[in-house]
Amino acid sequence: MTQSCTSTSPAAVPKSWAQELQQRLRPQGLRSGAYIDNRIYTDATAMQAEKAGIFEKLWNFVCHESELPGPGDYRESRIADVSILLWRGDGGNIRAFVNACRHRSVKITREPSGTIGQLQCFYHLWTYANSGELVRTGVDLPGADLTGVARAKGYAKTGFDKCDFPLVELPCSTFNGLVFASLNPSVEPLTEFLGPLAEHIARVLPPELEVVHYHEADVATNWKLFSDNNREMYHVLLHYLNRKSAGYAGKDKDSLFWTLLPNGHATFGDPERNVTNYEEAGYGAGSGLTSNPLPGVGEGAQPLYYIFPDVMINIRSNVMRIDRMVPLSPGLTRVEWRGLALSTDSAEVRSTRLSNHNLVWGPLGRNLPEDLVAVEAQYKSMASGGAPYSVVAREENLAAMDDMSLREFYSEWSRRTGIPYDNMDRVATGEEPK
Amino acid sequence: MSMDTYQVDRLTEPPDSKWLRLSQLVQLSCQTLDDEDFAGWLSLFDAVGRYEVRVYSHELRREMTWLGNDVSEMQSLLDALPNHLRDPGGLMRVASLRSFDEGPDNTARTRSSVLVYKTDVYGMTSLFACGEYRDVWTHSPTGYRLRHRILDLKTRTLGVGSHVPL
Repeated sequence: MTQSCTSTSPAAVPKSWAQELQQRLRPQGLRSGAYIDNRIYTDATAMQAEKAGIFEKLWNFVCHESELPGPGDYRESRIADVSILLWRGDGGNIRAFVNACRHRSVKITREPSGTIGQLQCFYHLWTYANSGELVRTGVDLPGADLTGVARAKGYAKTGFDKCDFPLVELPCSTFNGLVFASLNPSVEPLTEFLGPLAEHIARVLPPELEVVHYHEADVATNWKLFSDNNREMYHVLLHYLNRKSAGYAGKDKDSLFWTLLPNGHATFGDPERNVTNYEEAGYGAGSGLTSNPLPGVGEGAQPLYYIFPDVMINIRSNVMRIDRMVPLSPGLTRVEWRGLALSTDSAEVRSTRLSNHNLVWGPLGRNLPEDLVAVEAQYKSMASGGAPYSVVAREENLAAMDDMSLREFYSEWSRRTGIPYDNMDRVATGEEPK
Repeated sequence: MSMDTYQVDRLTEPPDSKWLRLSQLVQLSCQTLDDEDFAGWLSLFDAVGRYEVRVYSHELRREMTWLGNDVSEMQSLLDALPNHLRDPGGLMRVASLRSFDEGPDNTARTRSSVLVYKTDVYGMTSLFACGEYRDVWTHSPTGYRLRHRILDLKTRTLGVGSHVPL
């Protein structure tokens, strides 16, 4: 008699070493919320929840207006798993569409950007206007001789109407040059989502900003780990070895504080107060790191602005960097880095800004590679299950090294995903960290 | 493009000594960087030499400079290397001289394809970047020196990036 292979009940499956460790190392003395259950970085369920509860529900920063300056300019982007298309219409408005032909679903653009009055799917030649309207199907193509092959009224018997098949349009809104789109048809107005942060960022986003530097990379880490790197300041003191002896703030340390805002947004520092001493920090003298500050920013100031969930606007006096992230899997994140300058810059000033951007933030620069090495190493340990918890327990009245910024981020993350960030086992109870 | 563009007629002649010399120098520029002999690498440049990494952005539809420094600025970057947290792997550059033109005032221009491989400390090797060195050389009594190296990168995603020039 053959034995059934399904006779073992799930309850009999032994706990893995990692599961045992998860229980054994759960912080006992720390209060709830002062630590992170690292499975929120590695678990596929957590990623599914954040895609559905965050990236598909909220506004996503997708590009800067300067990336599509004229009518017909388009820019490809992505929200969660969906390829999208930003396209500036004849009237100047930017609209967002799902980047897929309504005929047989082919991705309709084949370049990251371009200028075109009408987009034609390369497969069966369905053609769309920049309003999204389907102008013609392939068989309607002027000049195409399909006599005897296709009949002009071939669609008529099935009730097909071109008006029913425009590109799928998505909510799209801009704020001071930042272009946002959302997969959520009933997303709240952008200004409501930004809330009080809007006033903060409006001060440092003049209309003459333009993107002059762009690079992206697929980083072998979870998106939240790079977000954490952007949102905690102690790595700035402890991790950038070239700064270790000199410290981050050479001048006005009192201005280095967090401002935590509704919806998980935040700011750090003061746009008008000088906090940096690059020479002491080993970046070399006379390299123009603080000259020609951007409008609204003081010489030597380094204010930071965080738009939940993934965007950081980082200004170092005369250059601006905007980060955004697209989670590809729990352990793989596409990070986009934009460097911005002013369209009114002289060639000399532009060169200084670019040089400054590259020195610290370029792919061959000083700081960014250090951050990426760290967050990749972090993920590797977490994914092994050998490091089940992270500590975010510092409290310093919102001074630079206060972990409150991270705790606020994760409280918002928990609220949106339904997963308590300090204990994934409590998902079923819906209990939030205190 | 005409066949002249590719200097086909040169293929039938034995490589001249200048070609060979410049080819050796291109190899040396790779070897010094692979060995992290930065003093040796910088000594290949003349006093006003410049190193640039450029890339065409299909996203912005413009050429970008990802690094652009003169020799003293490169010296400053390389001096700071020991203080940086670095990817512990190593890079190997494989270059091949493709074309050579003599210019006015004892200058020469060369173009060399280059592949950069990355090997991590566990022995895993992957292609890190590909591109082309576009070099301008000056000739002096001491031989050829690099006046301007442009690395025209085709690869636009460099993972964690690199503290060491490519």
